[in-house]
Amino acid sequence: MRRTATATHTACAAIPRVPELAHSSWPRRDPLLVELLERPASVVDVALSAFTAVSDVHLPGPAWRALELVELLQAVGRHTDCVSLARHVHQHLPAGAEGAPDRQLAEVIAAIAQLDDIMHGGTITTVDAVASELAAAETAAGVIAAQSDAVHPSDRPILAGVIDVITARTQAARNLLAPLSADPVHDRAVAAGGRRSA
Amino acid sequence: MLTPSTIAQSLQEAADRLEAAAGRRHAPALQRRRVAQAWRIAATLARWDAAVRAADPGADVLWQSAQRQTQVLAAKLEEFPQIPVPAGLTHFCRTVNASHLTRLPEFVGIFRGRAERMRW
Repeated sequence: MRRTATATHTACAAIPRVPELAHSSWPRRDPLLVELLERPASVVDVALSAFTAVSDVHLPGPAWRALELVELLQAVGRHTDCVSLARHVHQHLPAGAEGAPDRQLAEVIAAIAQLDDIMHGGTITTVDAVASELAAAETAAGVIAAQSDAVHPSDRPILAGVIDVITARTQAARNLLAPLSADPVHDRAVAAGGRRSA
Repeated sequence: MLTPSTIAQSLQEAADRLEAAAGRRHAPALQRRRVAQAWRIAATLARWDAAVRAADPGADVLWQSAQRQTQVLAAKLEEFPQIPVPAGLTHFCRTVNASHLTRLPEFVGIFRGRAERMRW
């Protein structure tokens, strides 16, 4: 069935508000979310509040479901809104030990969203300029990676994928922004040093 | 301070890792694969830079390879108009493919400005 973009957005905001449906469709079994992930351009102009409302249905957990819409926002390049939504989810997860794993997941999503926001946003030209964001993303990813044994086995591949994507993005950012040696003699010396130490 | 070869190797690793974790369905998976391909092109450009510095006669092949990879990526970007493309990625493809480039000087501009042109 073909929907207009407006109808789709309205449905996106309304359907998941049925609480009994909220926990029944992970991962990616929600047909509306699947459709929007296939054609994300239709949500370019949808207000952030609509995304927040959908995430709220899944709070105080599971965090996975509440954070899914960050990926949808990311797909249309709304990186500032990604940061806002990830932080919103983080703030509404349970305090204490009960919510610790979910909060850590929200932290890592917020951290990579923050890095993306800065990288997409404009004038960054050096690693130093994003040092704190890179460190935050790497630290948060390291924390959840260290605790992945405690995650339900069915969620581990998803978590591993998230960690790999974040690791790849930070690794690429470090190299794309790295100061480049302009000295061939230095290059050869570094290469020779590497061979000796290998 | 990194050498072009080091950057090339690390970008290739990052691209491989991102592609392996990209998933197979939906727009985000396709977008991640596009980004991974762009990182691979950047890795090829870095190898080209290293080859030029070493006066390697095979350097031209790397340049041509980067341009060809970029043409393929640019064509793929137009395949699915419903899936947004970051402006930085489009700009990167256009710059690498610019036919008026006389290679080295412009490449240095591309590569040193890579952070500005590859914002994703």
